[in-house]
Amino acid sequence: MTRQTLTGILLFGLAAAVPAFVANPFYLHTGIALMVNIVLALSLNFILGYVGEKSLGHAAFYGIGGYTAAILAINYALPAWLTLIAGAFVSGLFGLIVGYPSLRLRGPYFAIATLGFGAILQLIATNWVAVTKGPMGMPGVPPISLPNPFGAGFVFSTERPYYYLALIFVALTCWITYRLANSRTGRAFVAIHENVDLAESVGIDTFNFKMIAFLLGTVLAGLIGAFNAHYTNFISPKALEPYLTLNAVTMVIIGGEGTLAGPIVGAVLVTFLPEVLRVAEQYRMVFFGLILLISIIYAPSGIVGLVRNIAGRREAARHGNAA
Amino acid sequence: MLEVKNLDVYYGPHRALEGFNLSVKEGEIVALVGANGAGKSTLLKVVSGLIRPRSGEIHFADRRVDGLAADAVLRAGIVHVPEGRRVFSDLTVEENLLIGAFSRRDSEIRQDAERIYEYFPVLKERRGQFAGSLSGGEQQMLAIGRGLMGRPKLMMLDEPLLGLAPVMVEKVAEIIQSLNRMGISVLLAEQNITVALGVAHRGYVVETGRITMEGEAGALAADPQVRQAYLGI
Repeated sequence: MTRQTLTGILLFGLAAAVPAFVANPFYLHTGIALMVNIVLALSLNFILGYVGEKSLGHAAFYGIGGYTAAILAINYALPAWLTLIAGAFVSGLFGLIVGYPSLRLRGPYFAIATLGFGAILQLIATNWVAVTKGPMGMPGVPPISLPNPFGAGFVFSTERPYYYLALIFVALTCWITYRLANSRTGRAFVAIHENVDLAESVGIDTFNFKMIAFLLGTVLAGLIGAFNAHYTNFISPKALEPYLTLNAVTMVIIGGEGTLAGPIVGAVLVTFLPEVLRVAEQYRMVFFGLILLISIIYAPSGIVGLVRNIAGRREAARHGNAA
Repeated sequence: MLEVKNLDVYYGPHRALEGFNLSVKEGEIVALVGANGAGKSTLLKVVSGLIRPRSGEIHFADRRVDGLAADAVLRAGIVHVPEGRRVFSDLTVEENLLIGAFSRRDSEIRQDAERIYEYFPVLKERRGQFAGSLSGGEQQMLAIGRGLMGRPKLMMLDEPLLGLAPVMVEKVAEIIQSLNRMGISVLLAEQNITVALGVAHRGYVVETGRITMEGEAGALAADPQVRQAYLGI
């Protein structure tokens, strides 16, 4: 436990030091993109990884956050701290609307509801031109600026402040995940994932905890979606594409669902693999699909699970027992 | 203590229990025996609030408990240890115990866990291990320990002996009797009729959703009909 905390602090210290040594904005931009993916993966991990409900519309919540922030900032000139909170809040509200009826049911209904919701939302974003400006998207989302009551606010005009803000969001998400995993609520999540009937028989209100996990995930997805809209100054229906949901699901599964490290490892792979595979740009998704398939068949608990297994076996071998 | 009256339970159009009457008195071990699919598990699930009955009443400690949600039944003092996969294999032994106290809000949960470790030292040795790595008998002990964490007045055990090695069967039978000495009443649904009637005070024989015989455990075990139907003697 302490070793885990130490590793975490070390990694964050390292990440925080990066801008001091890296001047190239492209690298910082890659770092920000990675951190957005990490938050997205960890936010999906609550419901998909811990509770085990198949959420197949995660991009929709990311997109809701983005559109909410964009519309509020462009049309109403609201400050960024408010648009970020609003993005998170509105996304969570839609999470409530989608989850409330569908998480009560057993069977594939939640998966179907989230999948359908994602598709509907993309249609709305594309066709409700009066509000979303349609398929062309909304350019000109203002950069984030910190208010200053005594003078001009601090405007995020370079990558560096965005990098640090993203790092704060990653830290926040990691902290929530870590605290949750070692709490009564986290135990309830894992119990529901493994055996709903047994969970109910020990007195866990399963619907309640599924809702908590889903709301937490949608709020954080909305927050990071809003952040990204400000950072890129742009939002379009592309933010709601099923492709993005698939990306997030891939990160969680190949990294290791229901762990803190897993989705982070998955996010690193999914962020950088396309760069490596640039030579075969057309076939990117084929590679992704293949990797996902291989992971599900040979490493169902992801890379983190695989490493843990190997480490466990080594440990066992050292102690001389076959288990 | 537990009083089940005229219970009718359906799975869709199929009747699972019919006119079911059963009681467990304070301090008793009551065995519910019968073949697979007779309705034993259904009864336990109905009592613990996981399935709603179509008609009939369930009273526990002078309170009507049918229609209550599972966690409310638990707080009333009825703990259900279901059959099949008995523990949460992705949680550690310790986490399994703690989750047994899920509906409790008091501050003595840790102390209770320590008491259970004293009682099952093998669980203490493995408190940090994933429960899935325990043997079948150890898992059953953990399941019972998890049940104890709910501070039950009545513990309902569903097939606690199923799939255990013979030596573990004896051990678990002893555990059931010592639960009883702690003052916990036990309702034991079991196919292993010899052992079940051996530890119980009274018993009920269930066939296709109905009680066909009831009485003193010793008398039931000696009944020629029971012996022929279930022991093949």
